[in-house]
Amino acid sequence: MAKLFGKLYTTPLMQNDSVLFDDLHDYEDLLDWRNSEELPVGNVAIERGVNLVETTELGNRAETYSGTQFNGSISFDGLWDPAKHAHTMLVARIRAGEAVEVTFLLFNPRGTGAVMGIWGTFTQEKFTRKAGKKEMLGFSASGKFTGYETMLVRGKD
Amino acid sequence: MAKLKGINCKLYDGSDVMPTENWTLDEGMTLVDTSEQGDTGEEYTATISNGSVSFDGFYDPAVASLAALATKLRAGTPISFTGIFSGTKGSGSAIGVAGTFTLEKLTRKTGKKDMVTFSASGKISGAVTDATNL
Repeated sequence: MAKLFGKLYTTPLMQNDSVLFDDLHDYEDLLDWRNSEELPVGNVAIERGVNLVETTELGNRAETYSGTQFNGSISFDGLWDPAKHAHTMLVARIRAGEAVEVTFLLFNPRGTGAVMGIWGTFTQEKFTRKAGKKEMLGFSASGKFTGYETMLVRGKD
Repeated sequence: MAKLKGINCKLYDGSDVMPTENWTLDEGMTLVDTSEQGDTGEEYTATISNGSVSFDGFYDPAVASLAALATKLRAGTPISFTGIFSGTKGSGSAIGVAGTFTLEKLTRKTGKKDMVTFSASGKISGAVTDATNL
């Protein structure tokens, strides 16, 4: 697989407007893009983990671990634009404690081969806006996934 | 609307602008792990919101809004703040955020090769509101 670039989307759309992504028309079977909205970001990090319990017993010569529950978190940042619906809805959702559905897609920049997507639902834990005299107005957000985020992999027809 | 420059953003205490170099608004939500036995993954439920404001700049005791910071910290007086992202406060079309915070820390720093600077931070009480008609 070639090197990939990523885009972050919120799904389904949080109001009744819609966005059409011409470059995604070949992937309509992956998700319903008519209900998707791009979330402009500069960086995205998705962490997935499992809670490990040490199950070592007397007599063992090495530590042993058992996995229990999965966990995951997401963090992203970018330049704040109050005219971007996907940005302003992040603020509304953290204040309401509402979950956000996201899809993080990785594309092959050459337009061929597989597209990979991670879909999941997270609840924001922190949302920050920062204004500095020598910077653009920026934002950062982070939250925890509920349930198990799903990795989707599709090949382009 | 486009991406915004930080140089045009301003922080107000009431109607008085506070001269700052940087300001940051943090909003948070307390999440409780509500997963139960049998769930394969963690599950989170939001409970109560929280937030904080921090800012820094050059300290000038002749500026009333800066001189008042120490007084308000010592008295525990809440500050009604407005952070302007775009436009002029009072124009009716400025975009920003408003709320109330109580100062928790105020630092003034002097160094032989530095200007006198300050930094302050506080915790938000109650709701924060975004508006486009400030």
